[in-house]
Amino acid sequence: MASTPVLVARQLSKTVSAPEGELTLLEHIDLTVQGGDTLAITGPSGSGKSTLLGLLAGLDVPTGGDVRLAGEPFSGLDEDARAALRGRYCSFVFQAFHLVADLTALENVMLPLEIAGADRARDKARHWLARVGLGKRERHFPSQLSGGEQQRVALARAFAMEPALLFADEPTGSLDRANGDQVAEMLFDLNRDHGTALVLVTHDPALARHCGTHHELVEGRLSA
Amino acid sequence: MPDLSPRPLLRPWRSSAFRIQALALLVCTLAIAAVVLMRGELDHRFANRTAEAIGGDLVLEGSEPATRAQREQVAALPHSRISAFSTVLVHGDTFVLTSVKAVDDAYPLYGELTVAEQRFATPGTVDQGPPPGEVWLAGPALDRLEQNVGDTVTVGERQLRIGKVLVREPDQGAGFYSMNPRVLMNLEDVDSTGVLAPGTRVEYELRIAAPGEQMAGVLDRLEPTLAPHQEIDTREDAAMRSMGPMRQLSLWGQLSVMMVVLLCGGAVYLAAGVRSAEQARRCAVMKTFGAGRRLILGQILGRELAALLPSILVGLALAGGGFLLLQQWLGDALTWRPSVLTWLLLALAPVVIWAGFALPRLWRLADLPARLILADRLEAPAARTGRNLLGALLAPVLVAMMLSGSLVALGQLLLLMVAVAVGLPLLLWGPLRLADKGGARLPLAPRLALRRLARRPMTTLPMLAAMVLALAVMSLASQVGQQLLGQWRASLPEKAPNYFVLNLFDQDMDAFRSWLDTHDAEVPGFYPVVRARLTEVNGQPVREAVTKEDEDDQGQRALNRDLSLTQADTLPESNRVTDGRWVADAPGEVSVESELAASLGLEVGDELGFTAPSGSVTATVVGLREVEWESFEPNFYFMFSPGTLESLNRYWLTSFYLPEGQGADLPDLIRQFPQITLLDVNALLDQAQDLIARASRAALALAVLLLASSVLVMAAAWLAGSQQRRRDEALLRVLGARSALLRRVAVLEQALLLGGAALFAHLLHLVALWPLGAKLFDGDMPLSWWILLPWVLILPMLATQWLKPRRHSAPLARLMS
Repeated sequence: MASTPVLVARQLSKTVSAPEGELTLLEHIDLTVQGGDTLAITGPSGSGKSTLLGLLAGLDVPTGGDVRLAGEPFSGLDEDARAALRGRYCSFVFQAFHLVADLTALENVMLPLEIAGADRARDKARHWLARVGLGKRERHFPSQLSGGEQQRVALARAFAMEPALLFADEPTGSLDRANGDQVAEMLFDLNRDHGTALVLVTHDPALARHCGTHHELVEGRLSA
Repeated sequence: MPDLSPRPLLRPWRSSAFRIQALALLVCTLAIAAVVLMRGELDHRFANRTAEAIGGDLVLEGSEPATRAQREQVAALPHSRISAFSTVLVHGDTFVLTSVKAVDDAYPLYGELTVAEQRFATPGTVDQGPPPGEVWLAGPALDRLEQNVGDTVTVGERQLRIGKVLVREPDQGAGFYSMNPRVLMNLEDVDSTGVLAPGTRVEYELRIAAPGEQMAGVLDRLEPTLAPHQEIDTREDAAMRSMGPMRQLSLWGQLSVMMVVLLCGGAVYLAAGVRSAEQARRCAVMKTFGAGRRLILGQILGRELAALLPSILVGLALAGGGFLLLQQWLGDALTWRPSVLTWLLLALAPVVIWAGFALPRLWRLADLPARLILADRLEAPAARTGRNLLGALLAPVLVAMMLSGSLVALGQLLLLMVAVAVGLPLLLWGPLRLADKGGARLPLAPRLALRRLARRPMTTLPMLAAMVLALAVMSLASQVGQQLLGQWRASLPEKAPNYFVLNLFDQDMDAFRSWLDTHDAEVPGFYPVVRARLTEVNGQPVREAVTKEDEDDQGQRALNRDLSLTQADTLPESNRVTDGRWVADAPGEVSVESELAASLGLEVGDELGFTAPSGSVTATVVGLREVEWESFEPNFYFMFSPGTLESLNRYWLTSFYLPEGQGADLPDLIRQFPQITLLDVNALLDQAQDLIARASRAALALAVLLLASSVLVMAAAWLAGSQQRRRDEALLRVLGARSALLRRVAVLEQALLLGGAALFAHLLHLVALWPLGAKLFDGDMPLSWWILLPWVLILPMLATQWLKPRRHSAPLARLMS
């Protein structure tokens, strides 16, 4: 029997009201992501990549179609229910890192674990910080870390939850080449080691080439 | 050049942060201008009023007339000669002891005389005293002599015509220094009356009008010529003695305005942070396209300041309008016109506040590389924020210099400001660090709330300090305002006694009480009075027991004259026991006024001996009392326990309130009890009550300004943190947090911030009671329920936070922005 896909999107569309009338951002998006898959979504600016990521992650609701996360209907749920489901299955890595400035590196990694009510959050967070090579920087605040280091903390935070699915939005977009390569390598290593499915939005063709599947988003439609 | 066309100047008003800054500057302008204009007007009026009260800007007093050389020194200035003495006026078999003031034609130098053409007729004013051959008599003297205007009285060897009823003299002063009915006569008639024989006690005055700067010169010229029996009284000395509630109001006004300035500065500082973030992207784009520093500063700062100018002008206009109303309300032609320089300084003060608190934060945009702005890395290093804040304090220093009339006052204001603006954040820093360390094991929601506050000290500390200050100032202002009003009103209740009666004897008492009953007169109490001298302390003659040698000392003066002693079973309302206790209901105990006791070195337990013509009495000091001398009640240095003074000859003293319109019956009272001395203090009372009503309204206006600036700080603080709060909430949402957790964190953050602010405001209130009490109330400022006001004020804020509907727009949009 085939395993349940981690993420399924069917006929997903998103329209918004604009002064000039209805504006279609996305239409007829079909996607299936299995456990351990790596999927790259590329496309020119304004093609709707971030909007699509938001819909897939339940951060926004589609105007048409639906999303199922680990077999459970996702896009029809209310905000709280989507947040709970997201917390259980998904993690994120952002281009701007989005660490909480008031929390240390360790506390940032602990945050999703604590939200989910996980046991031994501190130990797990320490373990993941060590995995990304920042074991000695756990008491540092984001402002005391370089961009590359911040993104590695964000990776530790994402993987600490041992998610079934990781969304990464331009994860190397704010880094120089050396740091970008290091973070990308780490991202794929962790993905491989833990069987986490990866949905990656990027401009970087080299990064996209690392993925098993590559879709390009053009004028709101996916092409293989 | 900044573009000053209307549209770009209106655009900033769309921003909440700009509106808060504009409102803060408006309140700040209004407060500073109102206090500066009010102080100028009151100083001006007070200088005139005190000059009126003492009869001139300088008064040369002596037991002999001023010498020819002294008169020549002031010949070029308007001056007037006065002789004051007591004499008996006679008509037929009736006579009355009066206080006479013999005046020349230049009298009065300031103010006007209030006189009436008949007893109880509507009074009018005149600007000169009686001509030769005429006397003007106060009502009680006419009543005693049973005479009226047009009749004659005998003064010494002369018959003089009664020309007018004397109602009030401008130089009557705030105290009733003479118990006898007052009489005004011409100086030329004095010799011919022959009332001044060698040895008669006369006070000669040479009064000089030397307004403004001239006074110092005259003082310099006259001082070297003074004979031992002469002294000079100046309008400044007199003003110091009689400021009363105005002194408190003036001090409270300066303190309040500095608080308003600091609070508005805090609001401007917090809102400027948000404005800086709002302007950052535009600034970065301008830089990217090659705009130079000058262009950016002109576009951003110039336009910002130009858009703020209307608020400053509105503040000035409101203060100016209020000032005109104040002048109209106070009446009189003597009005102060603020100079152009004053108006310029008033317009400059809010600009200085803005420059101090907002400019460094906006200026920084011009220095920051576009790369950092576009990467959203706007946060200034801690050291720079610290420098900005310290620099910002220079602005209120300049304003303080403007507000305080003297260097001493400036020093006090600066001390207060440094304590509040630097000391307070430093003081809060420790507890904030401790809370952060102690919060490591807390559950997630309170820990996140605490972290947000504790780990952003450069945002949290100014916000917390501003809120602590706002809450503490509100509670202190409420307590001080209420206490000031209470004190003023207590000293002058609505039915404060308007007549005082002396020389009532035991046999008069029943008939006198019955007269009071039939006239609905309200009497606080009757005091038996014994005239006696303090002669022994602990068995030793008082001259040996008291070693102080200063002739001006209060104790020495008390030893040199007969004192009025009384006995009572209850402590008068205007007295307060400061040491020991009030006297018991058994003879032999005495309570002493505390300042006199300190001057004589008397302590609880001392045995005092008094000698009166009818015998002597001894009593033990059981307590010391603070006496409110300004109260319109009989007050005494020595109050004995009931029964102590029974063996000595005594008369009775009382005061009573007689409703308006019943004054016409007073001549009957005087005819019924011819030996009594009746003092009419209605005019003084009206003047004092009017002053208090005005001071109360001014205090209320200051409280409203304080409230407005406190609300602005709260709004600015909320706005300053809102963007970061929304981002954090969005991130938590993405990481799987439910609404309940977000709401808990937000409410706990507010609760910790507001609760912490209320707690420290509560403590600050407690600590400030002592210095404020010492400054405004001579050390008397008790704990009151107002100390709980910070807690009461934060409750609605917390409730608003809890009940506020929360909208969660697409969180990813925030994180992607």
